Amino acid sequence: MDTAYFLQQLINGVTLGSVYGLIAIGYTMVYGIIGMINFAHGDIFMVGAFIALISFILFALTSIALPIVLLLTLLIAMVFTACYGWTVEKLAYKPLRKSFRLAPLISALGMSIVLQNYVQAAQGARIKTLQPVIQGGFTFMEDTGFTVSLSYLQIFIILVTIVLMAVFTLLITRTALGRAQRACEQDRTMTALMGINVDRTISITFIIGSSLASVAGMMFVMYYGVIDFYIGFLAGIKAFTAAVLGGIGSIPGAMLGGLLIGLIEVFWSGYISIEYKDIAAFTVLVVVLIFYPTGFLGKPDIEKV
Amino acid sequence: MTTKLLDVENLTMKFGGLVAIDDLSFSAAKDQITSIIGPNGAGKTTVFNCLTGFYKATAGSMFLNKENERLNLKKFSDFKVAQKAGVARTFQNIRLFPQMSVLENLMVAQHNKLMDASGFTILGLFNASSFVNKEKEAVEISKYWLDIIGLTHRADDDAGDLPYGDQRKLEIVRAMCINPHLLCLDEPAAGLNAKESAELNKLLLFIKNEKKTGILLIEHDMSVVMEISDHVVVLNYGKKIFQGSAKETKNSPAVIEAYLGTEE
Repeated sequence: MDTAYFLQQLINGVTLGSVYGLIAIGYTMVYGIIGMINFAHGDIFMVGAFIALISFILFALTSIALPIVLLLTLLIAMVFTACYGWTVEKLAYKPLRKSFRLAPLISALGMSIVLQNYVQAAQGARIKTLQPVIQGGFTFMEDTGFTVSLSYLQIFIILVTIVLMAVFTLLITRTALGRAQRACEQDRTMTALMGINVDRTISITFIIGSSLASVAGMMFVMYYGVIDFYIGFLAGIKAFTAAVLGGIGSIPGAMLGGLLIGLIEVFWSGYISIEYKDIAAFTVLVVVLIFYPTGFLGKPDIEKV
Repeated sequence: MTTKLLDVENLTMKFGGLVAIDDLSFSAAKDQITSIIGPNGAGKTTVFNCLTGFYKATAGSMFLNKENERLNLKKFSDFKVAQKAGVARTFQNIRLFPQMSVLENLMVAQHNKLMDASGFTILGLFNASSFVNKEKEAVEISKYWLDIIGLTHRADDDAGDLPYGDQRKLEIVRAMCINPHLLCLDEPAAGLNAKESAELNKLLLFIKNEKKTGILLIEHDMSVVMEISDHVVVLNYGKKIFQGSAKETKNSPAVIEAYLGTEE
Protein backbone atom coordinates (compact mmCIF):
# COMPACT_ATOMS: atom_id res chain seq x y z
CA MET A 1 0.00 0.00 0.00
CA ASP A 2 2.84 2.36 0.79
CA THR A 3 4.29 2.22 -2.70
CA ALA A 4 0.86 2.72 -4.22
CA TYR A 5 0.17 5.72 -2.04
CA PHE A 6 3.55 7.18 -2.86
CA LEU A 7 2.99 6.66 -6.57
CA GLN A 8 -0.35 8.40 -6.39
CA GLN A 9 1.17 11.41 -4.69
CA LEU A 10 3.90 11.46 -7.28
CA ILE A 11 1.38 11.56 -10.12
CA ASN A 12 -0.61 14.33 -8.44
CA GLY A 13 2.54 16.26 -7.65
CA VAL A 14 3.85 16.16 -11.20
CA THR A 15 0.48 17.36 -12.48
CA LEU A 16 0.35 20.27 -10.08
CA GLY A 17 4.03 20.99 -10.74
CA SER A 18 3.31 21.26 -14.46
CA VAL A 19 0.80 24.01 -13.81
CA TYR A 20 3.21 25.89 -11.54
CA GLY A 21 6.05 25.41 -14.00
CA LEU A 22 4.06 26.95 -16.85
CA ILE A 23 3.28 30.04 -14.76
CA ALA A 24 6.83 30.24 -13.42
CA ILE A 25 8.27 30.50 -16.94
CA GLY A 26 6.43 33.80 -17.37
CA TYR A 27 7.97 35.20 -14.18
CA THR A 28 11.43 34.03 -15.04
CA MET A 29 11.42 35.26 -18.66
CA VAL A 30 10.23 38.73 -17.72
CA TYR A 31 12.73 38.92 -14.88
CA GLY A 32 15.46 37.76 -17.21
CA ILE A 33 14.79 40.36 -19.85
CA ILE A 34 13.91 43.50 -17.87
CA GLY A 35 14.90 42.56 -14.33
CA MET A 36 11.44 43.11 -12.94
CA ILE A 37 9.03 40.86 -11.06
CA ASN A 38 5.73 40.97 -12.90
CA PHE A 39 3.35 40.80 -9.96
CA ALA A 40 0.37 40.88 -12.29
CA HIS A 41 1.42 37.58 -13.83
CA GLY A 42 -0.64 35.49 -11.41
CA ASP A 43 -3.68 37.47 -12.42
CA ILE A 44 -2.89 36.97 -16.07
CA PHE A 45 -3.04 33.26 -15.23
CA MET A 46 -6.45 33.85 -13.62
CA VAL A 47 -7.69 35.71 -16.71
CA GLY A 48 -6.49 32.76 -18.80
CA ALA A 49 -8.45 30.38 -16.60
CA PHE A 50 -11.59 32.48 -17.05
CA ILE A 51 -11.18 32.69 -20.80
CA ALA A 52 -10.74 28.92 -20.95
CA LEU A 53 -13.83 28.44 -18.77
CA ILE A 54 -15.96 30.69 -20.96
CA SER A 55 -14.66 28.97 -24.05
CA PHE A 56 -15.47 25.50 -22.63
CA ILE A 57 -18.99 26.58 -21.69
CA LEU A 58 -19.60 28.01 -25.14
CA PHE A 59 -18.26 24.90 -26.86
CA ALA A 60 -20.47 22.75 -24.63
CA LEU A 61 -23.45 24.25 -26.45
CA THR A 62 -22.13 22.95 -29.75
CA SER A 63 -21.48 19.38 -30.77
CA ILE A 64 -17.83 19.71 -31.70
CA ALA A 65 -15.66 16.68 -30.91
CA LEU A 66 -13.65 16.84 -27.69
CA PRO A 67 -10.13 16.91 -29.14
CA ILE A 68 -11.06 19.86 -31.34
CA VAL A 69 -12.69 21.64 -28.41
CA LEU A 70 -9.51 21.18 -26.39
CA LEU A 71 -7.32 22.48 -29.19
CA LEU A 72 -9.56 25.44 -29.91
CA THR A 73 -9.86 26.36 -26.24
CA LEU A 74 -6.10 26.16 -25.91
CA LEU A 75 -5.66 28.51 -28.85
CA ILE A 76 -8.40 30.91 -27.76
CA ALA A 77 -7.05 31.09 -24.22
CA MET A 78 -3.49 31.65 -25.46
CA VAL A 79 -4.42 34.36 -27.96
CA PHE A 80 -6.77 36.34 -25.73
CA THR A 81 -4.57 36.10 -22.66
CA ALA A 82 -1.57 37.13 -24.72
CA CYS A 83 -3.53 40.28 -25.63
CA TYR A 84 -4.04 40.97 -21.93
CA GLY A 85 -0.38 40.42 -21.19
CA TRP A 86 0.68 42.63 -24.08
CA THR A 87 -1.73 45.40 -23.01
CA VAL A 88 -0.55 45.29 -19.41
CA GLU A 89 3.03 45.65 -20.58
CA LYS A 90 2.21 48.58 -22.87
CA LEU A 91 0.09 50.40 -20.28
CA ALA A 92 1.87 49.75 -17.03
CA TYR A 93 5.51 48.88 -17.70
CA LYS A 94 6.70 50.36 -20.97
CA PRO A 95 6.15 54.01 -19.98
CA LEU A 96 8.19 53.34 -16.84
CA ARG A 97 11.09 51.55 -18.49
CA LYS A 98 13.52 54.43 -18.08
CA SER A 99 12.26 55.19 -14.58
CA PHE A 100 13.75 53.90 -11.33
CA ARG A 101 13.62 50.18 -10.66
CA LEU A 102 10.77 50.14 -8.17
CA ALA A 103 8.32 52.08 -10.35
CA PRO A 104 7.24 49.22 -12.64
CA LEU A 105 7.10 46.94 -9.61
CA ILE A 106 4.50 49.19 -8.03
CA SER A 107 2.52 49.57 -11.23
CA ALA A 108 2.59 45.76 -11.48
CA LEU A 109 0.93 45.52 -8.08
CA GLY A 110 -1.62 48.06 -9.31
CA MET A 111 -2.22 46.07 -12.49
CA SER A 112 -2.75 42.96 -10.38
CA ILE A 113 -5.52 44.69 -8.41
CA VAL A 114 -7.02 46.13 -11.59
CA LEU A 115 -7.23 42.71 -13.22
CA GLN A 116 -8.75 41.08 -10.14
CA ASN A 117 -11.41 43.74 -9.79
CA TYR A 118 -12.08 43.80 -13.50
CA VAL A 119 -12.78 40.07 -13.52
CA GLN A 120 -14.78 40.35 -10.32
CA ALA A 121 -16.92 43.08 -11.85
CA ALA A 122 -17.27 41.38 -15.21
CA GLN A 123 -17.78 37.80 -14.05
CA GLY A 124 -19.13 38.17 -10.52
CA ALA A 125 -17.44 37.33 -7.28
CA ARG A 126 -18.93 33.88 -6.85
CA ILE A 127 -17.06 30.65 -7.51
CA LYS A 128 -17.43 29.38 -11.07
CA THR A 129 -17.61 25.68 -11.75
CA LEU A 130 -16.87 23.59 -14.79
CA GLN A 131 -18.13 20.07 -15.42
CA PRO A 132 -15.25 17.63 -15.97
CA VAL A 133 -14.19 17.93 -19.58
CA ILE A 134 -12.01 14.84 -19.76
CA GLN A 135 -13.18 11.86 -17.74
CA GLY A 136 -11.83 8.41 -17.02
CA GLY A 137 -8.32 7.13 -16.72
CA PHE A 138 -6.18 4.17 -15.82
CA THR A 139 -6.16 2.44 -12.49
CA PHE A 140 -3.49 0.05 -11.32
CA MET A 141 -2.05 -1.69 -8.28
CA GLU A 142 -5.59 -2.44 -7.14
CA ASP A 143 -4.52 -5.57 -5.20
CA THR A 144 -2.42 -3.59 -2.70
CA GLY A 145 -5.46 -2.07 -1.05
CA PHE A 146 -4.88 1.40 -2.44
CA THR A 147 -5.86 2.01 -6.02
CA VAL A 148 -3.53 4.26 -7.94
CA SER A 149 -5.33 6.25 -10.59
CA LEU A 150 -3.86 8.16 -13.46
CA SER A 151 -6.61 10.09 -15.16
CA TYR A 152 -6.61 10.98 -18.83
CA LEU A 153 -6.78 14.58 -17.70
CA GLN A 154 -3.51 14.24 -15.80
CA ILE A 155 -1.89 12.65 -18.82
CA PHE A 156 -3.21 15.50 -20.96
CA ILE A 157 -1.86 18.14 -18.59
CA ILE A 158 1.58 16.56 -18.34
CA LEU A 159 1.85 15.97 -22.09
CA VAL A 160 0.77 19.49 -23.06
CA THR A 161 3.23 20.92 -20.55
CA ILE A 162 6.10 18.84 -21.89
CA VAL A 163 5.29 19.77 -25.49
CA LEU A 164 4.99 23.48 -24.74
CA MET A 165 8.15 23.57 -22.70
CA ALA A 166 10.01 21.77 -25.48
CA VAL A 167 8.73 24.23 -28.07
CA PHE A 168 9.69 27.26 -26.02
CA THR A 169 13.08 25.85 -25.15
CA LEU A 170 13.71 25.44 -28.88
CA LEU A 171 12.50 28.95 -29.46
CA ILE A 172 14.91 30.41 -26.94
CA THR A 173 17.93 28.37 -27.96
CA ARG A 174 17.50 27.99 -31.70
CA THR A 175 15.75 30.96 -33.24
CA ALA A 176 16.85 34.51 -33.94
CA LEU A 177 14.15 35.78 -31.60
CA GLY A 178 15.49 33.71 -28.73
CA ARG A 179 18.97 34.99 -29.42
CA ALA A 180 17.70 38.56 -29.35
CA GLN A 181 15.96 37.88 -26.04
CA ARG A 182 19.14 36.52 -24.52
CA ALA A 183 21.04 39.54 -25.85
CA CYS A 184 18.48 41.90 -24.27
CA GLU A 185 18.98 40.12 -20.97
CA GLN A 186 22.66 41.01 -21.02
CA ASP A 187 22.78 44.50 -22.48
CA ARG A 188 19.73 46.29 -23.81
CA THR A 189 21.58 49.35 -25.10
CA MET A 190 24.02 47.25 -27.05
CA THR A 191 21.21 45.07 -28.39
CA ALA A 192 19.50 48.16 -29.77
CA LEU A 193 22.79 49.19 -31.38
CA MET A 194 22.79 45.84 -33.18
CA GLY A 195 19.62 47.07 -34.91
CA ILE A 196 17.30 44.96 -32.80
CA ASN A 197 13.95 46.40 -31.76
CA VAL A 198 14.29 45.95 -28.01
CA ASP A 199 10.78 47.14 -27.17
CA ARG A 200 9.28 44.62 -29.50
CA THR A 201 11.45 41.85 -28.13
CA ILE A 202 10.25 42.70 -24.62
CA SER A 203 6.62 42.74 -25.77
CA ILE A 204 7.03 39.32 -27.34
CA THR A 205 8.45 38.05 -24.06
CA PHE A 206 5.31 39.21 -22.28
CA ILE A 207 3.16 37.61 -24.96
CA ILE A 208 4.95 34.27 -24.60
CA GLY A 209 4.79 34.38 -20.80
CA SER A 210 1.10 35.25 -20.82
CA SER A 211 0.13 32.56 -23.27
CA LEU A 212 1.95 29.94 -21.21
CA ALA A 213 0.16 31.22 -18.10
CA SER A 214 -3.15 30.92 -19.91
CA VAL A 215 -2.41 27.28 -20.66
CA ALA A 216 -1.74 26.83 -16.96
CA GLY A 217 -5.09 28.55 -16.30
CA MET A 218 -6.86 26.19 -18.64
CA MET A 219 -5.26 23.18 -16.93
CA PHE A 220 -6.22 24.59 -13.56
CA VAL A 221 -9.88 25.04 -14.41
CA MET A 222 -10.03 21.56 -15.96
CA TYR A 223 -8.24 19.94 -13.03
CA TYR A 224 -10.01 21.57 -10.11
CA GLY A 225 -13.30 22.47 -11.81
CA VAL A 226 -13.71 25.59 -9.66
CA ILE A 227 -12.20 29.04 -10.07
CA ASP A 228 -12.83 32.52 -8.81
CA PHE A 229 -11.26 35.91 -9.46
CA TYR A 230 -8.79 35.42 -6.60
CA ILE A 231 -6.99 32.24 -7.71
CA GLY A 232 -4.22 34.24 -9.33
CA PHE A 233 -2.86 35.43 -6.01
CA LEU A 234 -1.84 32.16 -4.40
CA ALA A 235 -0.99 30.40 -7.65
CA GLY A 236 1.07 33.44 -8.66
CA ILE A 237 3.01 33.44 -5.41
CA LYS A 238 3.62 29.70 -5.63
CA ALA A 239 4.84 30.01 -9.20
CA PHE A 240 7.03 32.92 -8.23
CA THR A 241 8.45 30.77 -5.44
CA ALA A 242 9.05 28.08 -8.04
CA ALA A 243 10.90 30.53 -10.28
CA VAL A 244 13.10 31.69 -7.40
CA LEU A 245 13.72 28.14 -6.22
CA GLY A 246 14.88 27.07 -9.68
CA GLY A 247 16.91 30.23 -10.13
CA ILE A 248 15.11 33.28 -11.44
CA GLY A 249 16.07 34.14 -14.99
CA SER A 250 16.64 30.51 -15.91
CA ILE A 251 13.93 28.77 -17.92
CA PRO A 252 14.94 25.19 -17.09
CA GLY A 253 15.12 26.45 -13.51
CA ALA A 254 11.50 27.59 -13.65
CA MET A 255 10.42 24.18 -14.91
CA LEU A 256 12.40 22.40 -12.23
CA GLY A 257 11.19 24.79 -9.54
CA GLY A 258 7.56 24.33 -10.58
CA LEU A 259 7.91 20.58 -10.43
CA LEU A 260 9.57 20.74 -7.00
CA ILE A 261 6.95 23.06 -5.52
CA GLY A 262 4.16 20.84 -6.89
CA LEU A 263 5.77 17.73 -5.43
CA ILE A 264 6.55 19.33 -2.08
CA GLU A 265 3.01 20.57 -1.73
CA VAL A 266 1.41 17.29 -2.63
CA PHE A 267 3.73 15.11 -0.55
CA TRP A 268 3.34 17.39 2.44
CA SER A 269 -0.43 17.19 2.14
CA GLY A 270 -0.30 13.45 1.64
CA TYR A 271 2.05 12.54 4.45
CA ILE A 272 2.03 15.31 7.02
CA SER A 273 -0.82 17.75 7.08
CA ILE A 274 -2.96 19.26 4.38
CA GLU A 275 -3.51 22.49 6.32
CA TYR A 276 0.13 23.47 6.23
CA LYS A 277 0.85 22.69 2.59
CA ASP A 278 1.40 26.33 1.62
CA ILE A 279 3.80 26.87 4.47
CA ALA A 280 5.75 23.79 3.37
CA ALA A 281 6.48 25.20 -0.06
CA PHE A 282 7.67 28.54 1.30
CA THR A 283 9.74 26.96 4.07
CA VAL A 284 11.59 24.86 1.52
CA LEU A 285 12.25 28.05 -0.41
CA VAL A 286 13.81 29.69 2.64
CA VAL A 287 15.98 26.67 3.36
CA VAL A 288 17.12 26.32 -0.25
CA LEU A 289 17.96 30.00 -0.59
CA ILE A 290 20.23 29.78 2.45
CA PHE A 291 22.37 27.19 0.68
CA TYR A 292 21.78 28.22 -2.95
CA PRO A 293 21.18 31.99 -2.88
CA THR A 294 20.58 32.10 -6.63
CA GLY A 295 18.34 29.02 -6.72
CA PHE A 296 19.24 25.65 -8.15
CA LEU A 297 19.99 26.66 -11.74
CA GLY A 298 20.42 30.41 -11.42
CA LYS A 299 23.61 32.06 -12.53
CA PRO A 300 25.44 33.78 -9.73
CA ASP A 301 25.90 37.49 -10.25
CA ILE A 302 29.61 37.88 -10.64
CA GLU A 303 30.81 41.39 -10.11
CA LYS A 304 34.12 42.09 -11.67
CA VAL A 305 36.35 44.34 -9.70
CA MET B 1 37.70 59.59 -55.74
CA THR B 2 36.85 60.45 -52.21
CA THR B 3 33.16 60.70 -51.59
CA LYS B 4 31.84 62.32 -48.47
CA LEU B 5 29.99 59.77 -46.37
CA LEU B 6 29.20 61.80 -43.31
CA ASP B 7 28.54 65.53 -43.16
CA VAL B 8 28.33 67.12 -39.76
CA GLU B 9 27.29 70.74 -40.01
CA ASN B 10 27.26 73.26 -37.18
CA LEU B 11 26.57 70.59 -34.59
CA THR B 12 25.91 72.02 -31.13
CA MET B 13 25.05 70.12 -28.00
CA LYS B 14 24.22 71.91 -24.77
CA PHE B 15 23.51 70.39 -21.38
CA GLY B 16 21.85 73.25 -19.54
CA GLY B 17 24.52 75.94 -19.50
CA LEU B 18 27.35 73.59 -20.48
CA VAL B 19 28.26 73.65 -24.12
CA ALA B 20 29.66 70.20 -24.83
CA ILE B 21 29.94 70.64 -28.58
CA ASP B 22 30.16 74.10 -30.03
CA ASP B 23 29.33 74.66 -33.69
CA LEU B 24 31.27 71.66 -34.96
CA SER B 25 31.49 70.95 -38.67
CA PHE B 26 33.47 68.17 -40.27
CA SER B 27 33.02 65.41 -42.75
CA ALA B 28 34.19 61.85 -43.09
CA ALA B 29 34.83 59.99 -46.30
CA LYS B 30 33.68 56.59 -47.33
CA ASP B 31 37.07 54.99 -47.78
CA GLN B 32 38.96 56.86 -45.12
CA ILE B 33 39.64 56.65 -41.43
CA THR B 34 38.70 59.90 -39.75
CA SER B 35 40.03 60.31 -36.23
CA ILE B 36 38.57 62.60 -33.63
CA ILE B 37 41.14 63.45 -31.00
CA GLY B 38 41.37 65.92 -28.18
CA PRO B 39 42.09 66.15 -24.46
CA ASN B 40 39.74 64.52 -21.96
CA GLY B 41 36.36 66.20 -21.82
CA ALA B 42 36.74 67.74 -25.26
CA GLY B 43 33.36 66.36 -26.34
CA LYS B 44 34.49 63.48 -28.52
CA THR B 45 32.14 60.87 -27.12
CA THR B 46 29.33 63.41 -27.15
CA VAL B 47 29.75 63.63 -30.92
CA PHE B 48 29.25 59.87 -31.10
CA ASN B 49 26.24 60.06 -28.82
CA CYS B 50 24.67 62.64 -31.10
CA LEU B 51 25.44 60.58 -34.20
CA THR B 52 23.94 57.41 -32.79
CA GLY B 53 20.79 58.99 -31.40
CA PHE B 54 21.65 58.81 -27.71
CA TYR B 55 21.48 62.59 -27.46
CA LYS B 56 19.28 64.93 -29.41
CA ALA B 57 21.57 67.60 -30.76
CA THR B 58 20.63 71.14 -29.69
CA ALA B 59 21.37 72.54 -33.13
CA GLY B 60 23.05 71.64 -36.38
CA SER B 61 22.66 68.73 -38.70
CA MET B 62 24.23 65.38 -39.49
CA PHE B 63 23.80 63.71 -42.84
CA LEU B 64 24.81 60.28 -44.02
CA ASN B 65 25.25 60.00 -47.78
CA LYS B 66 24.46 56.61 -49.18
CA GLU B 67 24.58 55.70 -52.90
CA ASN B 68 21.40 57.48 -53.76
CA GLU B 69 20.00 58.93 -50.60
CA ARG B 70 20.95 61.46 -47.99
CA LEU B 71 19.81 60.47 -44.52
CA ASN B 72 19.29 62.97 -41.78
CA LEU B 73 20.80 61.16 -38.79
CA LYS B 74 18.83 63.33 -36.38
CA LYS B 75 15.73 61.39 -37.34
CA PHE B 76 17.12 58.07 -36.22
CA SER B 77 17.21 56.84 -32.68
CA ASP B 78 17.38 53.59 -30.78
CA PHE B 79 17.57 50.45 -32.94
CA LYS B 80 16.91 52.36 -36.17
CA VAL B 81 20.40 53.86 -36.09
CA ALA B 82 21.85 50.49 -36.92
CA GLN B 83 18.90 48.96 -38.75
CA LYS B 84 17.84 51.82 -41.02
CA ALA B 85 20.76 54.24 -41.12
CA GLY B 86 23.57 51.69 -41.00
CA VAL B 87 25.66 53.32 -38.30
CA ALA B 88 27.44 50.97 -35.89
CA ARG B 89 29.34 51.98 -32.79
CA THR B 90 31.38 50.61 -29.94
CA PHE B 91 31.91 52.05 -26.48
CA GLN B 92 34.96 52.96 -24.46
CA ASN B 93 34.34 49.97 -22.23
CA ILE B 94 33.83 46.57 -23.79
CA ARG B 95 30.18 45.73 -24.22
CA LEU B 96 30.02 42.28 -25.68
CA PHE B 97 27.31 39.88 -24.59
CA PRO B 98 29.66 38.11 -22.16
CA GLN B 99 27.48 35.09 -21.49
CA MET B 100 26.84 34.31 -25.12
CA SER B 101 29.32 32.45 -27.27
CA VAL B 102 31.69 34.30 -29.57
CA LEU B 103 29.76 33.03 -32.57
CA GLU B 104 26.42 34.06 -31.11
CA ASN B 105 27.68 37.57 -30.51
CA LEU B 106 28.21 37.86 -34.24
CA MET B 107 24.87 36.21 -34.99
CA VAL B 108 22.97 38.70 -32.85
CA ALA B 109 24.35 41.45 -35.05
CA GLN B 110 22.74 39.76 -38.04
CA HIS B 111 19.39 39.50 -36.30
CA ASN B 112 17.23 41.52 -38.67
CA LYS B 113 17.79 39.52 -41.81
CA LEU B 114 17.42 36.27 -39.83
CA MET B 115 14.19 37.50 -38.28
CA ASP B 116 12.80 38.26 -41.74
CA ALA B 117 13.81 34.83 -42.99
CA SER B 118 12.32 33.11 -39.98
CA GLY B 119 8.86 34.44 -40.84
CA PHE B 120 8.59 36.02 -37.45
CA THR B 121 10.03 32.97 -35.68
CA ILE B 122 7.28 30.55 -36.71
CA LEU B 123 9.21 29.15 -39.67
CA GLY B 124 12.32 29.07 -37.54
CA LEU B 125 10.66 26.74 -35.08
CA PHE B 126 9.78 24.31 -37.82
CA ASN B 127 13.26 24.51 -39.32
CA ALA B 128 11.97 25.82 -42.64
CA SER B 129 14.63 25.70 -45.31
CA SER B 130 14.56 29.45 -45.94
CA PHE B 131 15.48 30.09 -42.33
CA VAL B 132 18.03 27.30 -42.14
CA ASN B 133 19.77 28.63 -45.25
CA LYS B 134 19.87 32.20 -43.97
CA GLU B 135 21.16 30.92 -40.64
CA LYS B 136 23.92 29.01 -42.43
CA GLU B 137 24.79 32.10 -44.43
CA ALA B 138 25.01 34.14 -41.23
CA VAL B 139 27.28 31.52 -39.68
CA GLU B 140 29.51 31.70 -42.77
CA ILE B 141 29.77 35.48 -42.46
CA SER B 142 30.59 35.11 -38.78
CA LYS B 143 33.28 32.53 -39.57
CA TYR B 144 34.74 34.81 -42.20
CA TRP B 145 35.19 37.56 -39.62
CA LEU B 146 36.43 35.17 -36.95
CA ASP B 147 39.06 33.97 -39.40
CA ILE B 148 40.23 37.51 -39.94
CA ILE B 149 40.71 38.18 -36.25
CA GLY B 150 42.04 34.65 -35.67
CA LEU B 151 39.38 33.56 -33.20
CA THR B 152 37.80 30.71 -35.13
CA HIS B 153 39.03 28.15 -32.63
CA ARG B 154 37.22 29.96 -29.82
CA ALA B 155 33.87 30.34 -31.60
CA ASP B 156 31.96 28.33 -29.02
CA ASP B 157 33.52 29.85 -25.91
CA ASP B 158 31.72 32.52 -23.95
CA ALA B 159 32.74 35.95 -25.19
CA GLY B 160 33.40 37.05 -21.61
CA ASP B 161 36.15 34.44 -21.29
CA LEU B 162 38.29 35.86 -24.09
CA PRO B 163 41.43 37.87 -23.34
CA TYR B 164 40.92 41.62 -23.34
CA GLY B 165 42.56 42.28 -26.69
CA ASP B 166 40.50 39.61 -28.41
CA GLN B 167 37.33 41.03 -26.91
CA ARG B 168 38.17 44.40 -28.44
CA LYS B 169 38.64 42.87 -31.86
CA LEU B 170 35.49 40.79 -31.51
CA GLU B 171 33.53 43.90 -30.68
CA ILE B 172 34.72 45.60 -33.84
CA VAL B 173 33.88 42.68 -36.10
CA ARG B 174 30.54 42.33 -34.38
CA ALA B 175 29.81 45.90 -35.38
CA MET B 176 30.89 44.99 -38.92
CA CYS B 177 28.38 42.12 -38.98
CA ILE B 178 25.62 44.73 -38.99
CA ASN B 179 26.98 45.62 -42.41
CA PRO B 180 27.27 49.30 -41.55
CA HIS B 181 28.07 52.25 -43.80
CA LEU B 182 29.77 54.06 -40.97
CA LEU B 183 31.64 52.47 -38.11
CA CYS B 184 32.13 54.64 -35.01
CA LEU B 185 34.83 53.32 -32.68
CA ASP B 186 35.25 54.87 -29.28
CA GLU B 187 38.82 54.31 -28.07
CA PRO B 188 39.29 50.80 -29.46
CA ALA B 189 42.97 50.77 -28.51
CA ALA B 190 42.42 51.63 -24.84
CA GLY B 191 44.17 49.07 -22.68
CA LEU B 192 45.86 47.25 -25.55
CA ASN B 193 49.55 46.45 -25.55
CA ALA B 194 51.82 47.39 -28.45
CA LYS B 195 51.37 44.09 -30.26
CA GLU B 196 47.62 44.22 -29.87
CA SER B 197 47.33 47.78 -31.13
CA ALA B 198 49.39 46.82 -34.16
CA GLU B 199 46.87 44.08 -34.85
CA LEU B 200 44.08 46.55 -34.35
CA ASN B 201 45.64 48.86 -36.94
CA LYS B 202 45.76 45.99 -39.39
CA LEU B 203 42.11 45.15 -38.78
CA LEU B 204 40.97 48.74 -39.22
CA LEU B 205 42.97 49.16 -42.42
CA PHE B 206 41.45 45.93 -43.71
CA ILE B 207 37.94 47.23 -43.00
CA LYS B 208 38.74 50.50 -44.71
CA ASN B 209 40.40 49.01 -47.79
CA GLU B 210 38.47 45.80 -48.35
CA LYS B 211 35.04 46.64 -47.00
CA LYS B 212 35.00 50.30 -48.02
CA THR B 213 33.37 51.18 -44.73
CA GLY B 214 33.91 54.66 -43.40
CA ILE B 215 35.51 54.65 -39.96
CA LEU B 216 35.17 57.37 -37.37
CA LEU B 217 37.71 56.85 -34.64
CA ILE B 218 38.06 58.38 -31.21
CA GLU B 219 41.47 57.53 -29.85
CA HIS B 220 44.09 58.63 -27.38
CA ASP B 221 46.71 56.15 -28.52
CA MET B 222 48.72 58.27 -30.95
CA SER B 223 50.52 55.26 -32.39
CA VAL B 224 47.16 54.20 -33.74
CA VAL B 225 45.92 57.64 -34.75
CA MET B 226 49.06 58.76 -36.55
CA GLU B 227 49.64 55.51 -38.32
CA ILE B 228 46.24 54.83 -39.83
CA SER B 229 44.17 58.02 -39.97
CA ASP B 230 43.67 59.73 -43.29
CA HIS B 231 42.10 62.71 -41.66
CA VAL B 232 42.24 64.06 -38.12
CA VAL B 233 39.77 66.38 -36.41
CA VAL B 234 41.01 67.91 -33.16
CA LEU B 235 38.53 69.05 -30.54
CA ASN B 236 39.12 71.11 -27.44
CA TYR B 237 36.31 72.25 -25.14
CA GLY B 238 33.76 71.21 -27.76
CA LYS B 239 35.32 73.35 -30.49
CA LYS B 240 37.18 72.15 -33.51
CA ILE B 241 40.65 73.61 -33.25
CA PHE B 242 42.27 71.86 -36.17
CA GLN B 243 41.71 69.44 -38.98
CA GLY B 244 44.05 67.94 -41.50
CA SER B 245 46.22 64.96 -42.21
CA ALA B 246 47.99 63.10 -39.42
CA LYS B 247 51.30 64.72 -40.25
CA GLU B 248 49.90 68.23 -40.31
CA THR B 249 48.18 67.60 -37.00
CA LYS B 250 51.39 66.52 -35.35
CA ASN B 251 53.05 69.80 -36.20
CA SER B 252 50.15 72.13 -35.59
CA PRO B 253 50.88 74.73 -32.87
CA ALA B 254 47.19 74.88 -31.89
CA VAL B 255 47.09 71.15 -31.25
CA ILE B 256 50.34 71.17 -29.29
CA GLU B 257 49.01 73.99 -27.18
CA ALA B 258 45.77 72.17 -26.44
CA TYR B 259 47.60 69.09 -25.31
CA LEU B 260 50.64 70.55 -23.59
CA GLY B 261 49.70 74.13 -22.77
CA THR B 262 51.67 77.24 -23.77
CA GLU B 263 55.08 78.30 -22.60
CA GLU B 264 55.01 81.19 -20.20
